[in-house]
Amino acid sequence: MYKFRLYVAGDALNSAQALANLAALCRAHLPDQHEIDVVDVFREPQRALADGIFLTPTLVKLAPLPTRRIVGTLSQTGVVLQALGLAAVAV
Amino acid sequence: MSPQNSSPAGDVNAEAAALIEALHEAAQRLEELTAGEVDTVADRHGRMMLLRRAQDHMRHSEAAKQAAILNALPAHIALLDRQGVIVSVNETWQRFAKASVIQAPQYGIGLNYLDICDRAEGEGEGAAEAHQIAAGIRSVLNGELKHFSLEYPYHTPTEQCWFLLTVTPLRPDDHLTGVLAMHVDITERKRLEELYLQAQKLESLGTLAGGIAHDFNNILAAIRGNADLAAADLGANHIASESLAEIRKACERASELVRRLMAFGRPKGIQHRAVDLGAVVSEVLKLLRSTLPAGISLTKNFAKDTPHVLADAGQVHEVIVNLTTNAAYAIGPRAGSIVYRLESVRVSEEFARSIPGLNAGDYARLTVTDSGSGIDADSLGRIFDAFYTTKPVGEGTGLGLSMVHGTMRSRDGAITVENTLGKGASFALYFPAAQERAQAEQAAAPVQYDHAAGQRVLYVDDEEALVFLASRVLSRQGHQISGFTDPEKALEAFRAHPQDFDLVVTDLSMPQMSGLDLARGVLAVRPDIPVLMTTGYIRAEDEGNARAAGIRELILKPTTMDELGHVLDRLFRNSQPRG
Repeated sequence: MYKFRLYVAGDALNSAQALANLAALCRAHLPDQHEIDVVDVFREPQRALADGIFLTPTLVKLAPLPTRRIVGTLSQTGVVLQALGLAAVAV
Repeated sequence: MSPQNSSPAGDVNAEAAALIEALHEAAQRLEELTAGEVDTVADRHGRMMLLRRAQDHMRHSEAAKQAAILNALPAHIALLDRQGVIVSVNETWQRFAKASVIQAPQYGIGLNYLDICDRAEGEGEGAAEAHQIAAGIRSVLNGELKHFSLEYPYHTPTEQCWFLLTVTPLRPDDHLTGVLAMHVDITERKRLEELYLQAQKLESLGTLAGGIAHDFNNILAAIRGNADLAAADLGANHIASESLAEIRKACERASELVRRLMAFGRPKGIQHRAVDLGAVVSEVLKLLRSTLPAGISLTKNFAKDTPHVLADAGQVHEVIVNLTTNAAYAIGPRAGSIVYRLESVRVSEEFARSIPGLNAGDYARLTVTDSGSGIDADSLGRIFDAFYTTKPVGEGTGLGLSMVHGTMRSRDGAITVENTLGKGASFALYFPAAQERAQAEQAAAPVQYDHAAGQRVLYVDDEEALVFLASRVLSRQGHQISGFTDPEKALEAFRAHPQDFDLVVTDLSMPQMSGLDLARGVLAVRPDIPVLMTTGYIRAEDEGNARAAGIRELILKPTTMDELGHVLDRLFRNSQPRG
């Protein structure tokens, strides 16, 4: 099971795109084997700061280990898949 | 190097710490892959911005929540700043301001509330309260009081209301920024409090009435008994006999009043039984007659075939009393009449549909018609509402007709009103007919008054006049009486010569020793002797206690000595087979 946490800045444009891209990516590559937790840094700023999130949107892959961070709209699918260790699956 | 750059050791450390943090951040940034545009870059300054935006966001949603709560509260709320200026008000305040007093733009926002209260001074009633309110708010603002609250009356053109003001300091960051003044409408609570007090007054009046009635009964028995004796001594042809007959009549009326007073003092439970409505109405009218102005005539018009109804006689009493007092109030000081008409009616389906709560069937209909002022159209729609009254403050609770209405509805009955303004009102009460007939009130048994003379009676009552009277009356009837006002002495006398007595008559409540204890003492010595106990007021537990003690009979204190003679006669006869 892939566990993701996506830090977003309210409903700002790039954050919304990141969420849409992540959802599409999971549907295509990880059907029924993913969980997404969305954290709004405006609602939970202390949590974002404690987690060391200084840029939004930031995606954190929590499981499987190792954890990885990717910032941005997640529009560069190749970079994302590679970072998540899914490149082999995609190719 | 400029002098400013010569840093002390502490500054060097701080700089080092900042550098380490920056390096740490840079390292973390390197770890992060970038896959597209970002919204927020949070460097040190950015982090501050992030926090501030988050705080703003929270504050906004918090403020919206608070405003929603304040608006939902059914209280008039105003926020005042430290000078007492109205900064903001809730929707309830706005509605109130629109409808009435504060004829200021913006519901008074921007005005100084303290000034408004101060200005009220000298403008008639309410000024004193306004002054108190201003003083209270000032005390909270300058920290003398933690909170301030005040219940105050408020007069609208149509009614008097009550409000509860509470003033609470506002300290969002531990600094006083102003106060929250909240006015809650407590009119209903105040009315209920008044009613509760009224009910308590009535209750204590009932207890008092019961107590007075008890003593008064004894006095009446003495007056009546002595009048009887005097009449017997003087004979029917004596010039004083007419006066004595008047005394007896007056005593009878007084006894009747006392009986009712005692009924008033007794707590009652609701008992639905077949009731002869005509008899109950007649009884109530007898009682009411003496309380109504002589100029008001009460007329009964009862049809003979009226069915009995299933009801609680006590409730019917209250219903008639309420309707009659209202009728008398409507007639006022003029001469007038109240007519009570009782008849049997069959309610048709069609008629039943026109009156809520009424079903088709057989009913006894009691109509109470007065020649008073009638009810105006405005009041007519509200007469059955609780607390609605047209009487001045202190004269009516506004509960009378609503109680009547409630009673009739709970009885599967109904009440209707016909009204001609200026000519009077007519209330028709529909009581469903009972299947069975009311049992006739236990009539006094037609005992043959034939004294079994020569009996020896121990008579004990703490009322000296009664002992004296009983001694005289019973002696005349040929009995031998030993009268005592002190039960202890009576018991002593009995123990000394138990065989010298054929019967013991004792009062129940006496200060030194109760009649029950006396009876137990007597029966311990002679279990066969008949003991009769008299009391002004029989409670349920008294009957049980008397039976357990072996008392032959417990009776209401006879109001005449003749009655006592009858009872004794019966007891002697019943006890003879034993002897």
